[in-house]
Amino acid sequence: MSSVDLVESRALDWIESSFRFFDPLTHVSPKRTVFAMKGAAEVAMLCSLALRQARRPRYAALAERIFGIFRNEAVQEHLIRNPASVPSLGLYASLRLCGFEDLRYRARIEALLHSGYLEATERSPSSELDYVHSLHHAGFPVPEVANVYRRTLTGHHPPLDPLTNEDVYTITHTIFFTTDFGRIDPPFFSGDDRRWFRLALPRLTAFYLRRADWDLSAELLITLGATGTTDVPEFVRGWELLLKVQNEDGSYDGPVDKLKDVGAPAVEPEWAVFRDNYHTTLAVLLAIVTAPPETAAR
Amino acid sequence: MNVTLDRAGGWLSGLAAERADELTARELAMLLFGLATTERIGDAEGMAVRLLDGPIDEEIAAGRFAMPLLTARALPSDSRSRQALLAACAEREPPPGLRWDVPLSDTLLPYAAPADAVREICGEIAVASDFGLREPVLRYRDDLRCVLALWTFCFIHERDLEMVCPLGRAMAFAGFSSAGEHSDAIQFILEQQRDDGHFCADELSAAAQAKTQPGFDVVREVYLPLTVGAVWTLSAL
Repeated sequence: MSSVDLVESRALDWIESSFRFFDPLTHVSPKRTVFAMKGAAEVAMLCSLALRQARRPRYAALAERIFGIFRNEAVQEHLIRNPASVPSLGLYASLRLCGFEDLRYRARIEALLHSGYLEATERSPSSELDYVHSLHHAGFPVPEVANVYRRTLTGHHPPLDPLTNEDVYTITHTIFFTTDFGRIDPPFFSGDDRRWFRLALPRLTAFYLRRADWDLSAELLITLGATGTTDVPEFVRGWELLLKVQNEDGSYDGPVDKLKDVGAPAVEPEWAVFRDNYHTTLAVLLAIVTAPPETAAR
Repeated sequence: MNVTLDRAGGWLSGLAAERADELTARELAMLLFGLATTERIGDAEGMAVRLLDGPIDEEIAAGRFAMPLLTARALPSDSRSRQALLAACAEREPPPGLRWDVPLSDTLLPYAAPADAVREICGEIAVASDFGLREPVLRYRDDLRCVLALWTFCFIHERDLEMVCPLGRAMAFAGFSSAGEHSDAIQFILEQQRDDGHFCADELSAAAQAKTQPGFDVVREVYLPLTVGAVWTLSAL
């Protein structure tokens, strides 16, 4: 087993052993319910990307478990009634890509779309790209995205110094959704876009590696892969470093938010580990699935 | 640039006039470097004598030979002595010669080296170039330029003036002044000067430390080293 396979296997072990936390029905707190639903949608997206390569049986089993959660009537009711706060369309789209269908839920989503609410909701351009990406994978008609891309932070080729972590997340997500995680090379990427990617993405990757922010490091490795920027040392060394820093339990430490716990009540240690580490662990798995180290260009 | 250095020199002179008696030998030496670098050495004669008469700790012993030059006001024209003294005060004594024999990019160092290790490498470059007096012999020059540029970007992004200064100097000493990141470093340093002439990139944190830590002297512990580091870097162009 290669070191990448080993890391992937251990990360999946951790996700599987933490699976109960992804089930919104196991939480009483409304905040945790929303958190769990977002997490479940992210697991479903990971599975959909892994399964399109048709070689990862553990992801099929995970997707099936997420579908089991999704089929619950109370869960669907919550998804349909709260499309602004939970990924009502994204979760469905990912599960559909994994080969699962629920025609009753589809009809309800379709009705929601026909109401005009989802389209009219105000979003940032990068969130709009996320929405269109989900719409596409859910099998609904999609609008043109070139103009949306041009309005994103990424499309404006910003200087790097002022960028915040949130800005960098919008950059990674914009690239995820415009390239479908590296599957397509959008014709609307201009020469200036590509020059900016080549300058900015390795630099940002190095910055977040130095910060030991494995969450953004993993997301940026995906963007390097998705934009064909794998011939830079940051891609090779980034992977080398990322493969070394996995926790004993298979998870990856999430970034420390120094303000998060100010005034917050203490929580159960197991939940705290899940809350802090699940997204980063999924991000590393997503990177393994979409931009693995062996795709480095020499 | 001259205006910047002049304002910094004014702040350092004020410190020398008002608080020289309180300073430790290391702080005094640092202040002398700052004054020398900003062409205000005339304000420092008494201090230099005091420094020579008093106990000198190991860290500045290496630069002691330059003290007579300093008191004779010859320091500004003797670049080598000045730089050696600066080195003794502001940089740790590095080993003789560069210690790496592989390109840094072939290692994880660019992404994992802590600030101390980065500072150490800057010190090695400073020594290899005789503090800017000659072009250093660098085995993997392009590689080093990329790594220094990367670190400079990272520490500017962190707004870490304490690290941007040695990196800016290292880039200049290594002959990488034409790199965009070197210009970025200089611009960043210039932007951190306050109206009274001192340098600081994070006044809020400095003020918070001064308020919450009894005995914390923001002028001696933050402003003085940052200001001397900044003027040294700006004058090393």
